[in-house]
Amino acid sequence: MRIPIKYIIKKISLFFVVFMGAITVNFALPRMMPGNPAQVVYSQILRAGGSGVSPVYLNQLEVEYGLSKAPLYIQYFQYLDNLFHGNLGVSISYFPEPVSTILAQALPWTLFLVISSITISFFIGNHLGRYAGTNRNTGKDLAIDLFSMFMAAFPAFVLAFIILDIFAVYGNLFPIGGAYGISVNEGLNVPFILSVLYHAFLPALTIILISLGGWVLGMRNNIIPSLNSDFINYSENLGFKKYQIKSIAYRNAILPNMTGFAMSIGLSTSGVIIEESIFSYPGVGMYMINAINSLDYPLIQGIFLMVVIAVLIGNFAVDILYGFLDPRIRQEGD
Amino acid sequence: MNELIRTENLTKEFETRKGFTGITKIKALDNVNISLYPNEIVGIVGASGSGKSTLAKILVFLYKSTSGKIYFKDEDITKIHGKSLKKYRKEIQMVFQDPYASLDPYHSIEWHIKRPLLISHYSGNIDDRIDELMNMVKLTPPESYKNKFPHQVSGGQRQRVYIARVLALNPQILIADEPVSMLDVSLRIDVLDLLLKIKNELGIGIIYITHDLNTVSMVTDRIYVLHNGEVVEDGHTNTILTSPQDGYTKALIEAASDPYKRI
Amino acid sequence: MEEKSNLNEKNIYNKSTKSKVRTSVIKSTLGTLLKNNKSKTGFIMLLSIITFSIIGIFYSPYNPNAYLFKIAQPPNSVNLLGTTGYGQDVFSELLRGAAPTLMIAFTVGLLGTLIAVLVGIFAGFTSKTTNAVINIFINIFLVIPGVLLIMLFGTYFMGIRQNLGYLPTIIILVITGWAFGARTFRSITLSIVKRDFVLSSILIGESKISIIVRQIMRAIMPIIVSNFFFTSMYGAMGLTFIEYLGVGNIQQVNWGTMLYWAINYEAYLTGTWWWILPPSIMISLLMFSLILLNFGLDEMANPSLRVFKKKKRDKNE
Repeated sequence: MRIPIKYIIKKISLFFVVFMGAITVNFALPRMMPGNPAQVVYSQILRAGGSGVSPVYLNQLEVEYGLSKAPLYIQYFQYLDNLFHGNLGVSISYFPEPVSTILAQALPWTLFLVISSITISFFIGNHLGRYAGTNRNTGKDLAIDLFSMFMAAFPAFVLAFIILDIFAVYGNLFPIGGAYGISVNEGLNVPFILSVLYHAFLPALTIILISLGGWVLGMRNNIIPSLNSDFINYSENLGFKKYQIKSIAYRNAILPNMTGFAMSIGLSTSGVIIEESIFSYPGVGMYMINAINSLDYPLIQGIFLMVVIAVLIGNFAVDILYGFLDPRIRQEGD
Repeated sequence: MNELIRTENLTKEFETRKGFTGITKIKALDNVNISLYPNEIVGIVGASGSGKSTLAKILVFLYKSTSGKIYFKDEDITKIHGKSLKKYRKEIQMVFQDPYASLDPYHSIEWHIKRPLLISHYSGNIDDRIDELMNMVKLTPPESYKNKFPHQVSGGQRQRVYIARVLALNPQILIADEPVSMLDVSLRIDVLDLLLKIKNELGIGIIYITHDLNTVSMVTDRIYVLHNGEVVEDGHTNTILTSPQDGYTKALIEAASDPYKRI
Repeated sequence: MEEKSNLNEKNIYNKSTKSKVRTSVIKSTLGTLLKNNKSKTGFIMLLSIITFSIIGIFYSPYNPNAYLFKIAQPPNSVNLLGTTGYGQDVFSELLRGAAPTLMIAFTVGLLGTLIAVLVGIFAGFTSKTTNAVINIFINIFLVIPGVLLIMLFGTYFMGIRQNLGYLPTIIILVITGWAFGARTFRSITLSIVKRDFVLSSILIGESKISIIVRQIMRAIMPIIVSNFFFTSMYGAMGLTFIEYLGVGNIQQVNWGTMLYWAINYEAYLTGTWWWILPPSIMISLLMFSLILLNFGLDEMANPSLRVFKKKKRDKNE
């Protein structure tokens, strides 16, 4: 298989631009704030009971927030240098924990939740959509459509609360929070894995439910024209069986949905962040809500950058995969 | 009498990327010299891919030529742009191949003819002029067509609407890019008659582009035979059709010898 | 045959003017939309919600901000939907909160669509380089999760600590919500400018503005309307997100803040479902109505989805 080099280079440069854009926004925002953000952060740390904070730290903060008198471009390079060394500052609400440490703990859980739920949702959604599209204008089609629309229309976090209420609070079937039970040992052992899956079930279920609708309706709208197209009529005339024809139409309809898959990473991340805070799942989302509530700017900025990078990598992976799947793109690199 | 339009060694190359750095050039037109006089119809004949549509688009400045010169009434217009290009475009108009695509589906037939009149600041009564134009292209009575939309009339009628639209600008040159190839055979003759009528009554010079030698013999005075971007033969239509010199022209005529086979 | 039918139509079309044609197009668009059962349902639902919000501007049974009642009362004859955990009347809040919620949703829909149309059409109509730059810009906003920008900008707006009303909320939602539409409009414009009828207008001497306004906007009208619905949905959903995250204006009454306070009071744990469900259901109904309306537009823009009953044959063809 030929490698679509030009396509890959195009994607890499695009993501690099996005990455630099995100860094620049992160760099610029605190510098656009009125007043002295370093002073604000410093006094917040004091108020949060940060023992052992010295005025030296205030100095360091002032450098971080560009209150030193150095010219802007030098500040920018200092900022990049700090980032490059993984220095994202110190969290206010979890003082004196460095932001990078918090993120390193939280990110794997979020990734696990995003990847598993988005994949399952894509799979189920496309099959439901295919079923609805091939049984078009029947009761089943209408039921699936209405269900998907309702799921897309219901506020995501309310659904999460309802599910939490039914299954965890009153039903007592699932845990109310956490990523794994206290009694298991971390590591690659069966009880731990089972516990992780058990704890992830409700958050994942919620994310699957809210993101399902888009796939179902997208697939339905793709497969209907596909079923009416000339090559399907031709296959019918050639005597293909009904299920074979459906599968041919499905394969043609899924390609446009694949593009949606890359874009949905960003959207799903938004959903996941909300769900995590509700299910007290120790991912990025939970820390984010806490950070917002205590205006923990270093942590907010760290989360922003981290998630942007993660989403970019995810997008890149899907785009590359797509480049190999779609012969039209594959050929471009010849 | 001087030429309306004349090209001098007109060349057009398209670039296609190949691989990471390699660029291959495809010559769509290769040193093409053609000329058009007032009150005549010149045919450009060639198979698809011979570069005839590229030539049309260069003459109306939808494409830029790679090298060579274009003269409009002995004035070098190869590099014109901006206002002078707008002025030039009033003089040279193009009829597209597909009348289903060249009319805006969301606008009435009257709109299509009215717009060029408004744009060129027509001094007389616009409504009268619209009627006059529609009568000229035999969309009669005009009232029954004016408020129709393109999808409500037939292909032949659409092509006539389009011709009325370009005539509204009073051009001196008309480029017709396969104007009848998308039409039913029965409707073709009407549109071709219309082209002849425009030539005879308005004195407009027409470049008629086609792959169809039978229609060529019906309307054109002279023809150029285009093959792989080069003019392989040119001269009076009857001379070429009866005694072709070039091998490619011979093959073309051979293929289209029987009018019933071809049309 | 043809002549005869033309003569018959002569009288009908004789007097109609340009504006008449235009209104008839709008009428027929609306007509097609309302012929579709899903769209019709959505249209009626949306009208009812709008009526509900208009009533709420002028009238509510009690002051929605005042703590007049016993806390956390289930629905009864005095408080139709019960009371909140702080003693406010839920129904009054629901009624009074409708207008701001709709206002934000539709303002975001309008501004987001406006930006999307401007950017998308401009990108499709400009030079190759500018187009590529705009495309990167659009992609940046598509790739970055909206919730992150909401968080980032929201907290900084909070840091400014000035009461700007709903302005920050609307700005954040427009910033995070315009890109999807811009992407659509860009690709559609790119395909339309290559069509013969646009080339024809260029040759005739139409200005770019005229082509954009008279032809391209006209051709993509169903998609513009559909995008408006989608962006409005994003506005309504985004409002609840912003309020939930606590970066909005939690002192105001709207369906988003109702949810915020209900969740803050842990209404889902204390069993006060009459507090958390009504705003959720109203938001769902709003979203639902817009999705249904969109269904009809989709089938209009994409005829292969339409159910053909009896296709009228074109007599002139």
